[in-house]
Amino acid sequence: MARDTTRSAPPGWLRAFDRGMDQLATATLTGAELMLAAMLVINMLNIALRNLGLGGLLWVAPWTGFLMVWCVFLAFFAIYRRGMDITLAFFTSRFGPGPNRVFRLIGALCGLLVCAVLMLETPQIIARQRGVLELVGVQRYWLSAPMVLSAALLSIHFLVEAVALALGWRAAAVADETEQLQW
Amino acid sequence: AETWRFATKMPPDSPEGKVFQFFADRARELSDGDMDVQVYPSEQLGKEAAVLEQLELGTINIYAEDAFFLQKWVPDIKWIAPPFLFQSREEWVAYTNSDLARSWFQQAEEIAGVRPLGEPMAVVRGPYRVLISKAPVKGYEDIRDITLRMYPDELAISVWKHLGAELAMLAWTETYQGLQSGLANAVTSPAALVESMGFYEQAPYITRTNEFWQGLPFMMNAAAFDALPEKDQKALLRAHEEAGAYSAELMEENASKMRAELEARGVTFTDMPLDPLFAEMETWYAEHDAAGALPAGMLAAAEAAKAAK
Amino acid sequence: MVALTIFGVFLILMLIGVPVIIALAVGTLAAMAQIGLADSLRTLYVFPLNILEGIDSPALLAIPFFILAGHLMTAIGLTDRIFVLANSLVGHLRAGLAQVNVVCSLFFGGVTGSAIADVAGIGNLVIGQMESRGYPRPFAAALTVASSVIGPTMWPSVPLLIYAFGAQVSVERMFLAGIGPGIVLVLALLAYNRIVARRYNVPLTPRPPLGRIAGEFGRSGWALLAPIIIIGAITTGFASPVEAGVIACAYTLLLGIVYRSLSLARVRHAMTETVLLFGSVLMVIGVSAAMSWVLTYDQVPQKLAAGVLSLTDNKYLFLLIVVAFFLLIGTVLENIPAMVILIPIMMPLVDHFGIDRVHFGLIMVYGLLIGIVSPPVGVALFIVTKIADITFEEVCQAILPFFVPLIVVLFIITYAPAVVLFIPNLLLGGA
Ligand code: NA
Ligand code: NA
Repeated sequence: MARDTTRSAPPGWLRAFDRGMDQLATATLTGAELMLAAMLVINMLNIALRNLGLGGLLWVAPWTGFLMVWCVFLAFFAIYRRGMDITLAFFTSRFGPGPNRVFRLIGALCGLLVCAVLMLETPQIIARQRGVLELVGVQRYWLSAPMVLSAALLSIHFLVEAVALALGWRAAAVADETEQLQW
Repeated sequence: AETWRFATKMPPDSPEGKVFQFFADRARELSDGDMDVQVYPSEQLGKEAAVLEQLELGTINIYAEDAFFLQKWVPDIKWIAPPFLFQSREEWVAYTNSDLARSWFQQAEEIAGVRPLGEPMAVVRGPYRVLISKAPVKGYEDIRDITLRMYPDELAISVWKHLGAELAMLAWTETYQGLQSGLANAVTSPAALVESMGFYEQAPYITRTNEFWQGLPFMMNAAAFDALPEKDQKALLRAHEEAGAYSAELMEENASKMRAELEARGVTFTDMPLDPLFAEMETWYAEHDAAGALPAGMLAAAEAAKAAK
Repeated sequence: MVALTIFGVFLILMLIGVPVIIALAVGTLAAMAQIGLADSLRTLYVFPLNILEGIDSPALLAIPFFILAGHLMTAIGLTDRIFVLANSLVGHLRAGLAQVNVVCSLFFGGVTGSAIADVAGIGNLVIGQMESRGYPRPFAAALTVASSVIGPTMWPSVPLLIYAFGAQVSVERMFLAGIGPGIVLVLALLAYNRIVARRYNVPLTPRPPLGRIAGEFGRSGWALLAPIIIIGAITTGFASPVEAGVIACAYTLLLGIVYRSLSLARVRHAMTETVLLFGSVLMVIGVSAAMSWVLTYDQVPQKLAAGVLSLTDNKYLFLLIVVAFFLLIGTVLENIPAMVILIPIMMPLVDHFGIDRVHFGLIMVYGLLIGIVSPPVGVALFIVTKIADITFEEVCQAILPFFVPLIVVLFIITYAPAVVLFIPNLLLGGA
């Protein structure tokens, strides 16, 4: 790994910020896991009751859909904190730390743009996503609530990332050279 | 030309899809090419709720579906097509023209800026509802022996439970396989869709239920309509009227052709007597009325509509 | 023009290392700005709306359970048992372990009907095993991805159901029509392995004595029952196809208790892995739904179809154009959004040329499925990079040769309709 050294000493709060955000990511991820567990449990219960001749639970299907949406949107924040989204490195790895810092800065600004738009749409979401979801019994905008939460957290994440890259607090790692050779 | 986006969940070659295309073609002709109505079939622009939100927003201009989906904005409108209350379409149409039903459409316009084009129920779907089952349903008592495919609709669930059916929640696309595996052994459907969905291959008994009547109001963004020149507004209204006549003809033709063709393929049509079924449902309505679960004046409006016909 | 904006922005951003979900989203936002939808936050509401719309879809409900079942099977050592057994059966053949990979997909896809579940569920194990026997890791990963196309080509299959509904053809006929192409695909991949895997000089394991095979059966028999139990549950109406994944999870947990290999920590780990994988896949699907929406809104696919019709009036040439078009569109669009957009546009053309709708359905379902394994946007590729701990570039490079058998099969399906229609016509009579 060719490493970029930080250009100026990162401020003390950045470390605390990173720790806090990682803890939040663990918390939302645990929430997503709970959604998945709930989906599994209510479906097992439904299959069991139906096949014991006790009648199926009609609310299980719509609730499963609702929990699935929550599961995905809650995981959205953790996906970025844990670096789980797909990126290509064959092109960027041809460049040194300088250009890579610029690339990563553009990436952080793009992330900020997308998440800020999602967050700023909150009033529209609340105004439009009306109507009670059949058999779930809550207003439709509750489907989007965890998306807004993740988008808000990610806006902060990308903003700090962009500032840290611009001021040289973060090192921009360059991908391994063996990857270049394979292309 | 002004481009109008017309969204529908139906495929282009379904009976409804043909009616919508007919409307688009006529609107273009009657407006001398001013109105470029583009039909987006098969939920291309989104499912129900998403399309209604875009209708309010104005990125979609028209959406045609059963009116009870407007309950997103006006919860009472789920009673626009009350189950097992009207034995004939004429009675039901009269009910949808009652002051009560009109007030619901009025509320939808006030809340979301959405208004039906022309006569709300002029475009016909169905033309009537049937029950497709693995064993013959000869009287309403037989409903107690079926496991009916159900969808997330609290009103429908309450009605079919009252009639004694066992219910199984299945997506429309999963229904065929559900019938095949025995997860469900009956499904309700508009008559005109029976053949294309192929349910009869698994459940070869069909009976007419007249469960509720279906019309397809062309819900439109009212502001977009009001902004059109009068000439184009008239063209749209006229095209809608013609589409209504065409739909009635097409649905009737499809239903009768369907019956003949399926009988040739070994499907049995049983004619369940409907009077006892509707009589049984009167107790359900009485209970719900007593519990205050029905909109005020709804049963009175229904009675008035029946008396007028 | 909108298409140019989306793909231009997307490709440039991907190139400079912007993550895929963000790059797709920025391309989509740029296109929305271009046609005036970003003028106000009011109209830009279509962006969050269509992301939700893509994710909130009943057709996707089966996926998390199958991904979880796959992770649970690995967590309790069940997949190892299946593998050891399969290997004792065919491991002594040339390219045996590569063949096991293909046959496992036939088996697993016959249960889940989902390529994603196949790669996520058994990919990790199969790739690890293949590597430990001397196959290059990228080859093993690429084979896993290529063979994942088998599952959704044959019953049970979400895309086949979506086509049957959209094109108004019999579901039963569609299901039966998938069997022929599925078999041809399996044979093509087996033949390809036999030719190519020779190159890797993998040492053959000696054929084990019959007694040992019997012993493996005794130890792993219950694991082998899993697919049979799942298929049984669906066909007897014990569970719906969506619930099949739940059955798979329940049975796996039960076996974990029996084998005494279940622990809370392992279950928790499987849940975390599932949620991260499923979450990122569904976010890609959600953002692609927003992208598909702009394209449709601006009538890009409609104009494309009109363009195709103006090119030719020859049925076989038309099919050639269509096949090329499916392969091209598959490089950037997911198969299910692509089908939803294209079915209504294609049907009039299909009828115009007198092509059987069921036959065309298999061309479309299979042709667009190749898209999930083709770079730069392919869900199966994305997943395998995560589970196999390998770079995206390596998989993309290794998958390229597999396009030979995959595309040969597409041409067989396209120009030999009997492969598709023989079984349904035999069992249900002519269309
Ligand atoms: Na399958
Ligand atoms: Na495989």
